[in-house]
Parts: sequence; structure tokens; C-alpha cells
Amino acid sequence: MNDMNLPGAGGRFIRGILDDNPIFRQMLGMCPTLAVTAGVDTALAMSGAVLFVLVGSNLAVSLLRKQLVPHLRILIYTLLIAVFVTIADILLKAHLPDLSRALGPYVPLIIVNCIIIGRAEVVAARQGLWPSFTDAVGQSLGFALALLVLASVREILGAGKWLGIQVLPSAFPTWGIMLLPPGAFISLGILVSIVVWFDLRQAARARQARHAAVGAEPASQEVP
Amino acid sequence: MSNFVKESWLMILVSVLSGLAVAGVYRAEKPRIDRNAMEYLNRAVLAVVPGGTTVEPVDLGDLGKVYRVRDASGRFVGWGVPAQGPGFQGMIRLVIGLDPTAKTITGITVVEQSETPGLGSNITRDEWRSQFAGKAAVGEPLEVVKGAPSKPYHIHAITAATISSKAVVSIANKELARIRERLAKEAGL
Repeated sequence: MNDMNLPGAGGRFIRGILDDNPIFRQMLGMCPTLAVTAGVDTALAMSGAVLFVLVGSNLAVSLLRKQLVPHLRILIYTLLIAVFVTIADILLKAHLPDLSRALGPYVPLIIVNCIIIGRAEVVAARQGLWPSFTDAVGQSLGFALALLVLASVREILGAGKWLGIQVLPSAFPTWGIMLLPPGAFISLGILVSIVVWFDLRQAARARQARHAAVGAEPASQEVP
Repeated sequence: MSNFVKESWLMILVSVLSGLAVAGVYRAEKPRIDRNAMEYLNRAVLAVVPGGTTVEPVDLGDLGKVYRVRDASGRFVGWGVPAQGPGFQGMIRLVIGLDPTAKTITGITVVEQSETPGLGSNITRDEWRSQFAGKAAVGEPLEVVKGAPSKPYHIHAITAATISSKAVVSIANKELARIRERLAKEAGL
């Protein structure tokens, strides 16, 4: 299973943050993204829990990758993920009870988060411990970045606060809807659109630069 | 059979180790989790009985558990009564504070709710909850009104969250009707 074309440790780390961002690019893990981003504090706690679970499951799967039987591998991933999620949930309950209460069922629900099982299949089952580790950290940072941006937008507009600190003047009419599910969908939609728009613009520029370099006219059939 | 073992030994091994890992962490953290839950409830009880510093549970048998609150000098200053019932979306759990004779409500706090954020969830806000302090726990049951309260037992509804407001009041009324006499008797002892 050792493919020479797979990205190395550094590449895995960098890709997770922007190029393969789990939220903005892979569109995975939407459930916690929408559910826990009404406040920056819950978004951070969720990101921490995902970091713990992803590092744990990636390392464990990578360690066992030579022993995996193809038709039983998903069972093993699920079991390992469930263990780390349960431990994360217990630790949160014991050490951060208020945040654990605020996150409610969404920590146990990390078990069904596709980011985690996706990384197990794509990276940890094929690559060694080090790239699996950097990949887990990179993906978690990408997830945290997306959650943080979304939670900041929602908390500032919906409550006038950031991490519980008043940032907008209290005269600002807060948009209560931003704290509700519609606010989550609307903000996520707008943020994803911004990322896609940015990408398209960059791709167009790169194409122009390439054409300019070879002195050729831009091909007319290309989509703008 | 040998094929079964050859294919699934890893699964069996991982299952056993997983079980041990989860059990170990749970065992290590259980006391802390229990303490957190107790502290959370104590904080809620102390928040609704002014002047209280210590909380001791009192088991009333089939009426459930209540909490007797004392101040720093050990004087009995009131009761914390847990109550729960359905809200607009899920269960609402309250702690109702009562004076030692269980005749006056000293406060009310919401320990758990899943009402609509920004609307029903306003039942947790001080401005709304503070209406309960000083209301009589005997006589007319509390009643939710939409306009300005005109009777001493009136509770002003939260705008756009009448159902949640009514749910809290009805949970409190039911619990008071159920347990008040027993508390008054208990206090006399």
C-alpha cells in the first residue's frame, strides 16, 4: 500500500489547513460545524476534541495498518474512533464541565464525523506514524480555522460578543437569527462562496499568467 | 474456525484493549465527574436561596430529594427544590428556592433547558427569573400574563416565548403543590 506519490508529512500538514480544508474543501463534518458555532467557546472546545480524536485514531490506525484485513478495516476504524471519542467525552465532563454541558451530544457525535474516518482511510491506513500525525494535526487546524471563522461571525453578529467579551456597542441590534440554525446555514453558505470565489479568481489569474508566459491566446472554450 | 481467528484476531484484541482503556479512564475520572455534577447543583441551589453557604441533601422518600440550605453560622435559611417538566422543545430542569417555612419563593434558576436560543432560552436570564423572588408559594398559583402584571401572583411572559414562560411557571406550580406542605412540616421539626 506504500504509494510513492502520496504527500509526505509536511505536505499532509499544510494541505489540511487550506488546500484540503475539511470544511471549505472536503465539505465534511458539517453537523458539528453547523451545531456548535453559535459561540466561539464551544467551537474551540469542539476543535480540541476533534484534534484529540483525530491524532489518536490516525496514530492507532497507522500503527495497525499492516495487520488490517480489507473487509474488517472499517470495523477497526470505527472501534478505535469510538474509543477516543468516549475518552474525550469523559475528559471534557471531568475537566471542563460547563463546556461539556454546552456541547451536549455533539462530542459523542464525533464518532460519526466523516473527517475522522476519512483520514483513517486516506492517510493512516497507507502511511507511517509521522505523516499520519502531521496529517491529523493539519486537518484539525483546518477544521478549527473554519469553525473559528464561522463562530466569530455568528457570535459577533448574533450576540455582539466574541468569546463572551462585548465587542460591538450594546446599541447594535443583534441579529438573533445568527445564533439559530438558519444563521448557521446562511453564514456557512456565504463563507464557502467566498472561498470558492477566491479560488476561481486565483485559478483564472494563474491561467492568464501561463498563457502570457507562452505567448498564446487564452483558449476560448475555457470556462471563465 | 482457524480462518475466523486468522481474520479477526486483531478485531478481538482491539475490542478488549478498547474496553480496558475506556473503563480505565472512566474509573479514574468518575469521582471528578460526580463532584462536578454535585457542585453544579449546589451552585444552583445557593443561587436561589439568598444568604446560603452550605447545602445538605434531604431525602423525602417518595417525594424525592430536596436540599436544605444553611448560612455561615449554621442557621437554616431555606430550601432548594429541584423540579422538572416538558418545555417547548425538551425537558426543563429547575431549582426553586423557598424560605424555611416554604411560604415564599426566594428565587428560581434553570439548570437545564433546550428552548429556542435567543427566544425561549431567555428563561435563564436574570431579568426574567428575578420576578419569582418574593412570590407567595401558598394561595393562588402563579400565572403567566402577557401585559403588565396586575396581581401579586402574575409573572410577565417573555415576548415571543410565551410557551417557555408558561412551561417554567407550570413546572414550578406543580412542584410546589406536590411538596410544599411536606416541606413546611419538615421545617417545623
